[in-house]
Amino acid sequence: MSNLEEHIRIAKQKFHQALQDTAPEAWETLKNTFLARKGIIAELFAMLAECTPEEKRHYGKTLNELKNEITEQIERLKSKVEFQLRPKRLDPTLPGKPYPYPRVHPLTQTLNRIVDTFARMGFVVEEGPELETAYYNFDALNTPIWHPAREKSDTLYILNSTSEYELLRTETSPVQIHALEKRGVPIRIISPGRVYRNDKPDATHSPVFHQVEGLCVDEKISMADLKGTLLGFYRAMLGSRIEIRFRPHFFPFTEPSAEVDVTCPFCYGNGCRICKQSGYIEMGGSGMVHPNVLKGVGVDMEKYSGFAFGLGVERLAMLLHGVDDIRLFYENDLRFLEQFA
Amino acid sequence: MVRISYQWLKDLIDLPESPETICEVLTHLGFEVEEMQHIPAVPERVVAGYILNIEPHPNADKLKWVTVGLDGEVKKIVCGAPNVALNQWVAVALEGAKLRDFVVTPRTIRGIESDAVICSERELGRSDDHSGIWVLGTLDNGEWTAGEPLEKRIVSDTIYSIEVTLNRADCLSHLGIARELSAKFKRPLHLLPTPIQELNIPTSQIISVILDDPIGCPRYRARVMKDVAANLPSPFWMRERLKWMGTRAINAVVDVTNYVMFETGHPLHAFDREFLYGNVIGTRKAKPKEVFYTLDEVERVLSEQDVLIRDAEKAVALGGIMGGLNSQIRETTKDLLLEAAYFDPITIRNTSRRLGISSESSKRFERGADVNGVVYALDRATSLIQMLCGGEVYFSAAESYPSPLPPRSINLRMKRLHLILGYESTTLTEASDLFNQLNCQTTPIDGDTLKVVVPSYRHDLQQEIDLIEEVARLKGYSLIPTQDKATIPLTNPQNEHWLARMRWNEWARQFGLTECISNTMVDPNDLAILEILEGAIQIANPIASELSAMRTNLLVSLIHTVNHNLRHGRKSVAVFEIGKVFGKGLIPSSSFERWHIGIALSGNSEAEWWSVSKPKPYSASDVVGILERLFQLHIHCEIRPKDTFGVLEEAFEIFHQDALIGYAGKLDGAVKKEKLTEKVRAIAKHFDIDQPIWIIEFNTEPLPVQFKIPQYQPFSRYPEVERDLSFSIPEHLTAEKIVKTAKSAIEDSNFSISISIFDRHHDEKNQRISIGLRIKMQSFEKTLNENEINDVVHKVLEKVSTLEGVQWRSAM
Ligand SMILES: [Zn+2]
Repeated sequence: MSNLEEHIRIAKQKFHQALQDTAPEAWETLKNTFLARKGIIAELFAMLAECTPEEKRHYGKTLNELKNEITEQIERLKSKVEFQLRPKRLDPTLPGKPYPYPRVHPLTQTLNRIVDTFARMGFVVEEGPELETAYYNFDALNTPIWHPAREKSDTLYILNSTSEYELLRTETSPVQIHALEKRGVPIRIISPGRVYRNDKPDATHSPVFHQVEGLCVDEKISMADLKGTLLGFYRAMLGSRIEIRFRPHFFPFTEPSAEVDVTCPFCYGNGCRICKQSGYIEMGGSGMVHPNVLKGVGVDMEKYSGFAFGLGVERLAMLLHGVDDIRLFYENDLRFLEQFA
Repeated sequence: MVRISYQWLKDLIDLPESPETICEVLTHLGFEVEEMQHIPAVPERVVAGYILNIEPHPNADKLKWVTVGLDGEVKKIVCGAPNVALNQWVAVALEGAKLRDFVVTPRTIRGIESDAVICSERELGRSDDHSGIWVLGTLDNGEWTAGEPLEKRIVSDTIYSIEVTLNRADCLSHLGIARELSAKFKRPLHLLPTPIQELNIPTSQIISVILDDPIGCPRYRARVMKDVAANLPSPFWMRERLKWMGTRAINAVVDVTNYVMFETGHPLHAFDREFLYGNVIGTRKAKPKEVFYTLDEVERVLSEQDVLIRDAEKAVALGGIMGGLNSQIRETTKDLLLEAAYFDPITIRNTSRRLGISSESSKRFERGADVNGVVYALDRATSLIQMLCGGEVYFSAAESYPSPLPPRSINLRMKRLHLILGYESTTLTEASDLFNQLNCQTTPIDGDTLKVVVPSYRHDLQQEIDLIEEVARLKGYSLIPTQDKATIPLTNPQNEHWLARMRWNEWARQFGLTECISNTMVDPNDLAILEILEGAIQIANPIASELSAMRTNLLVSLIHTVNHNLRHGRKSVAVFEIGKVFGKGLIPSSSFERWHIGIALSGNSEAEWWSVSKPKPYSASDVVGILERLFQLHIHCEIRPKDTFGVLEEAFEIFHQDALIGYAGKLDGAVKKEKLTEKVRAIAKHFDIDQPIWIIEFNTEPLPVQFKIPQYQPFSRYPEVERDLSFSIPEHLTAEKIVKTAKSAIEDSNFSISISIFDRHHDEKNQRISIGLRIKMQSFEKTLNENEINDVVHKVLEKVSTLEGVQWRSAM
């Protein structure tokens, strides 16, 4: 039956025409026309009955191929339509829900690192008042009566002061005296806290800033213990390649006194912009507690010796975070604070 | 701060080391070099010349055509300097001289050929001064030879600006710094000789020294000279050095006194003898309110504590601080009295503070001069004046030093030295040598102890520990080893207040708040408008009036923080601060300094996000929600609603154990300002607030610092049943009242029952509130059956319905 070939060709042509003319949503019409029990393909298969066995084999194969092709095309159409009809998934490229993201102030972060580091060395926190008396802030710390730190150009004094408070402490060092009076010796403390100076605010000065003071008094404490303690501390803070350097200096409440320099953590001593090419960064004062200070609080200065040191929290925070203006710490601008996650 | 010249140091000690090495050595001796200024030598082919003639430049108004005399020839040079004048000695750079910015070549300047340059200091690279040419002197003193190359006489130098610590007044001079280097390098000092041609009449026959205030001035020494040419300028080298010390040259006599002070550290004063009466010089205390004119022409009103130098009739100088106008050296001065005295540091300090005078002289005396340094300083000055200005000098000096100050002797124990420094390599002999280098006399007392007598200029060496520092310093701090063994048992628990504050910080952050830290010094005007100025601690000498009060509450800081961020583009701000407040403040407290926690919320409680079209603004519910979470820290506070608290509205008071510890509420700044009360409007205007700020603040001091370790409570394993009841209630009934009433109904129940509000709707038109109660019940023994459940629900329903105006709407 040679016209079967012609029928198949026409059916194929018909299907491709219908595929073009039919909207995807109408895929079922296509299916009914071509694949239904009485559809075009079924009719063609029926015509096989009248063929020779050889023709049956040949046209059967061609018909099957056509049927498969049509089925496949209709399925494709169907899944396309079904996908479009399915309830929509959220656009996965949309931003997620902004959960609140609280931050700790960079000064608190730095203070916590300092306190935790010293805590591992057995130093506990001891705090004292910010409103102080001249006795604790100066006299008990062996500050000579003529020392310029006592001047109104350096220290902020309280209007209508009382016996309880006369000034805003200029250092956290008076806590040494409170602690020695309260706890006696041996003692190993650090005192973090806020201090005040009569300084006009600029990029490197703030009238309010934070210090951490350290004090250790026991039998046979030497300057080597001081050096070891500070080396351990600065290595924990700034990295194990840090070295420290002592330079002679003068502080009324320590003798011998030393200015503490640490290897610049940015260039490791080679010199860079941050350390002004010196390879070192000045971190704060230190020294052996002056016998007059110990004597003043009734500690046997022959039996006991000790060391004390101080460091600036803002200075360290500026170094750690690359902050170039100290005033940023007190402005509370969220554009600043939110950087310290 | 003291300025020290490297070349000047070389007059006093051999220094083969470079200026840079000396800088390093000084740093490690405790003298921080803040600045090092290199001054180059004058380049080759720059010679001395004198100005012979000045003609105007024919083609340029501002230029001059100058004839300069050199070695046997004259040169005509075009020069634009305003200060060029006849008979000046100047530095002339000849062809080929390499100046700072150019090499001298013949040029034609506006039509006139000029093949040399009359140099400014800047052109020679010695300073930045290019206001005019560098004048080396005037022709009438024969300091220079025409045409002599200057590079031999004007050499390079380095000027150090050194921070001398307060205890080392003895190092405010070249001699002082040279002494330190001498001890460090173990190299001798060369004190410059003081040749003086003396008459054979002793000074004491010419003048007597009478000290009426031997405490203010323990030692006074004077020399007398006659026929001195005081009007001469000092020589170039001296003027040059004084310039680097920051002092202007005046005349040879005054310049010498300054020069000797910078050299030896001892301030001197020269009087014109013509104005001294009665052949007497000495001291007395000032009379109360006595008026004296110092040579800066200022009237000084004195007190009895001040020391005056006086002659037989009148005061002639404010001792140790400044000379008097009535006896200063003038051009016509011929006869001189030269004073070298030692003044008591405390007396000088008091006077200079009270009068507000800080002179080079007072700066040295108040920190402690050298009582034995007067002899050398006086001779050095006399010798220099005679050398420069001629004149005759009477034999020796007149002096009064009634009670010589005894030398200080201190014992140094080697054991103590080793203990403090943490290393034991120093022997008694080494220590002895070291102190000898410092001009101390030493005597070993026993094998371990050295007696050290310190020189009179070392006021800082008072006790053993000071000697220990000297050993550490001179041997070098780098010798101190690092000991890393702990010496105290590590049994101390961490400070619980510190830990508590860390917990508070964590607690506040769980609400999504960011931590702030503010200045504790605030503007009293801010406190006043917030009605929290009363009892504020104020600063006597504030940095600025805006920083003159200590904050009494965190409120003021929080408002500024919120405001700053709203003004910089934020729509919402949620922050907290844990900080100290001072004085009285809003919350009663017995301590004048305490830790508060403050929270500020403004704007929307939800972040801006595409999914939220209308974010919820912060409200009282946020405040209550946060405060309810205090239970996390096992703190049980009562929150009592109030219409207002201070300047806040929709407020709450926070009570802990019946004591008021804090408050919360709203500071309004509505866009429609007319809705606000007068008070709130004034605040909104003062702080420029235009949206509400919710504030929570409480004092943490009364709250426990030791946090309880949570204890396990058994819970029921049987199912929990939930029933809801809905009521319509009148507007005045509070949620608290409904819940309390409901709870009272089931007080004796054996089940564990919780009652909460799960829904609320306000029908403003009908002035009714519909409220939904959720009852959750559970037994520890069994699963509840329907009868038991209904019994509970019924009891609650009945009890709540007894409240006036309450209608039951439905059970769900
Ligand atoms: Zn560096």
